Amino acid sequence: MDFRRYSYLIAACAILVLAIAIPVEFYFWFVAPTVEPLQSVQVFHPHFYRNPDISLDKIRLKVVYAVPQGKTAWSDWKNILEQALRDNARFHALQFRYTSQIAFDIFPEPVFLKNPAVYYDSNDTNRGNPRGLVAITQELETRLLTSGGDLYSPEFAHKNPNEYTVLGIFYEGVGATGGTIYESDTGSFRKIVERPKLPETVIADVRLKDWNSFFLLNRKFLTDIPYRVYGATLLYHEFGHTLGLPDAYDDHNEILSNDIMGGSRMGPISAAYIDDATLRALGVLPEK
Amino acid sequence: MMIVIGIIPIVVAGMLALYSVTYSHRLNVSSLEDGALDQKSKEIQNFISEVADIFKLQVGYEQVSEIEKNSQHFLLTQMFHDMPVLEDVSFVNLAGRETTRHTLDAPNGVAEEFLRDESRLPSFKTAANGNTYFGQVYYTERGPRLTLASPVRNKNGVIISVISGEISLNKIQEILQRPKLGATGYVYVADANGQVLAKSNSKDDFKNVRNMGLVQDTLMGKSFWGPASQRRYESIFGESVVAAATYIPNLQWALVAEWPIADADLILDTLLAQVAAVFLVVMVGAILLSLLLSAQIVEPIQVLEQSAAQVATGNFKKRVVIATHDEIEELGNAFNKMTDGLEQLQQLKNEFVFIAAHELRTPVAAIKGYLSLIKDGTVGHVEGKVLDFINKVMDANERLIRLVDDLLEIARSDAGRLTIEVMPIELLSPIQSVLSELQPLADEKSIKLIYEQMTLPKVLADVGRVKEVVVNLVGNAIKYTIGSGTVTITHELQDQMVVTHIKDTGLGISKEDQEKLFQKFYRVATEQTKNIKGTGLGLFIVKQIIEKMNGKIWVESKEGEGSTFSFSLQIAQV
Repeated sequence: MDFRRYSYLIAACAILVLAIAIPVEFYFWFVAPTVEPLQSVQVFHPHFYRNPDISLDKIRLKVVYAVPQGKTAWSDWKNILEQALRDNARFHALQFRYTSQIAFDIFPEPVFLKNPAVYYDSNDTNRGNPRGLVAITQELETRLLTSGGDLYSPEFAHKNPNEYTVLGIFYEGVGATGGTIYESDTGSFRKIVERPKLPETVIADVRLKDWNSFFLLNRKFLTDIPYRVYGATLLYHEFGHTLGLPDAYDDHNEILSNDIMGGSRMGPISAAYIDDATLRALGVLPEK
Repeated sequence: MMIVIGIIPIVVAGMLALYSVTYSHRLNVSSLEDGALDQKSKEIQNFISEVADIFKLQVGYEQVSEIEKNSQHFLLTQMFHDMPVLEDVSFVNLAGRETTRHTLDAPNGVAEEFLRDESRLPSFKTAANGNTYFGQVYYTERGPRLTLASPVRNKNGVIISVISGEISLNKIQEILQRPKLGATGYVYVADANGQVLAKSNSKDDFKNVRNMGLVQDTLMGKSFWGPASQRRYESIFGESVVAAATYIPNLQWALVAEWPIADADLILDTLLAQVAAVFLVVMVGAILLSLLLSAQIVEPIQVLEQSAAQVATGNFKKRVVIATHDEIEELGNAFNKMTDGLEQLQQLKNEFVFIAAHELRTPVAAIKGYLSLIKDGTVGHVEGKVLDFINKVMDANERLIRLVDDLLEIARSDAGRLTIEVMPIELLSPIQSVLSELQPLADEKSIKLIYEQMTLPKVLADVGRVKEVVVNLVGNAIKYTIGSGTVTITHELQDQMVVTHIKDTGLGISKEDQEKLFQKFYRVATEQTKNIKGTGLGLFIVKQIIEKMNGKIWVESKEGEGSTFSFSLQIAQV
């Protein structure tokens, strides 16, 4: 074998390989632009207003149509209520940038309360009848949501620990209000309202075992003209209080924001929104 | 070497081509993206400006009083008609109280109880101070919106009220359509919070992109224009993209163009493939051509080089055949002529040496004869100085005789006339014969001759020539042993050869001298050897003889310790 002749061929092949490899390496090292990897996408975990310890990833509304003694239930109450709740769920998903979802259960039958309307209704409709909300809620807890109650339903009463559960009262009477229960160590209504300068009528002494968040809405807001235009909006407004959202208007009706907790609560839900500051406090938007 | 020289410019050209094609493409992509951004940015800003301009109301009267209510309704109706993006607009008095409001759901105006007190809103406060207010983007089911508020002035420029409205930003989605970035490039707007407000080619990408490096920096006021600022990254929308961005300052929005790399670099990939193909073809062609040229140029030169090396060793019969039809062929022909001439010269030299030695033989033999007669007293008694002179002349004549004999031997060998009759012979008896012949010489110098005999097979050799070899080697061993010593002859069998070793305890030979020992006329020249007589031809002749008998000869020696000369002869197969 003429090794010398083949050595030329081997050398030629080696040179060819190098001649290809060098420009290729040059290209990939110095010319071809690099592609930065996907940066970690900021994930938002919505939470109770200014309280990251309470997750709002999943919210469940347990809604009851409460009718005081002596009153007649609205015939189409369920459809109207369902539609409003669906509108609310859609609104909520959009405002929370799809990081939080609302599911709802409606108690299948109207619950006829033990007492007539006068027992629950309030003259102070400016405040939305918070005392009525408390009275009805306490009655519902006993009858509907506690084992042994005459209307007890274990499925309806069941609370999933992974969900933030809110009790909604669709009321055949006066009122539109919502809130959450806070423990106060002062023991005096006057001292509680002193700092935020609120009237004592907004505070109620609540004796509930398992339910911390509830809202109430007069049925007429969903059925009667002119209210029904913004009935679903108002429903969410009250529900918003159960997430800790404060009103964005003051006692003189001066609005602090045009969002659903303020100026746009009195308009169609399709035009309502939650403003940036509130969304930041809910953990939906990044801090500035 | 030729291949490397041919390849280097091609490789460099290839690298330059790669670089320039890529850079040029990057410029083009950047130019297209910057163009798309510039166009869309202008369109967005024009849209916002048009809306803001409609909000710049100035009445034709001088009173510092609000517009009359009916006129307010009329104006608001007109605004709704002129500006389809308007969804809600109101007049607000300087106390901050809405006086009229029209909405999409109430185009003729909302009821009194739905009018709001906006005195604490930043939109009112900014406009009441004489500036146009642009709010943050918010998202409704009807689409993204922002709040815009502007002062209303009288004829003298005094603020008389505020006009505030909610503007639909669905138009932005329309503006961003068809950004002219290849087949799949797109543009999107992110609001101050990093929320995607609108994106071309899609309505459903409601993502927050604030965390992405490009958007984050853009929202801080930077712009990413030009090829140097272009970024390539894996986009949140699922593809690797090349991106550019610009900041829209009055709205605090980021306008980002992303072009999927697979689409953006499609033409580049095609170009690079073409460059690579051309490069490969040229490379292979260059290598083949180099090999061809190498065969044409380098190979003949190598043939000449090898032939010259052979001529240097004395082989004047070597000829080269070069048929390249160029100067190298002429060089080859010249080389052949040169070797012809050298061969002739060698032949002439050999003839001359042969004739000279042959002609010299007779006179030197005659000189020897007559000197012997004189010394014997044939022409009278010779003594004293005369005798001494005659002895010196006889010594000199002996040396001349030996030189002539050696020259004759060499001349015969060169002319191919050296007669060697190779036949199976016994080695012992010729060696014993030589040792007896040289014993007196050894005795003179008190050198012991030892022959370690052993049973040996017959070898293929010429008995006379073997004696000649042994005489020369043992004679040298005795000659180059100063004072007493030993010369030992031994044998050994190696493969199919009988090896004979002649070992002395003489002066020894240096490594440098060993390499030249078997050359013509070479003699070791040291202080100790300068008085030892010899022609320098003995070992050359011995080597010729041994090699003509298909044997080998070699030496092992160390200065001061003696030498061992060895030769091998083929065993005769019987």
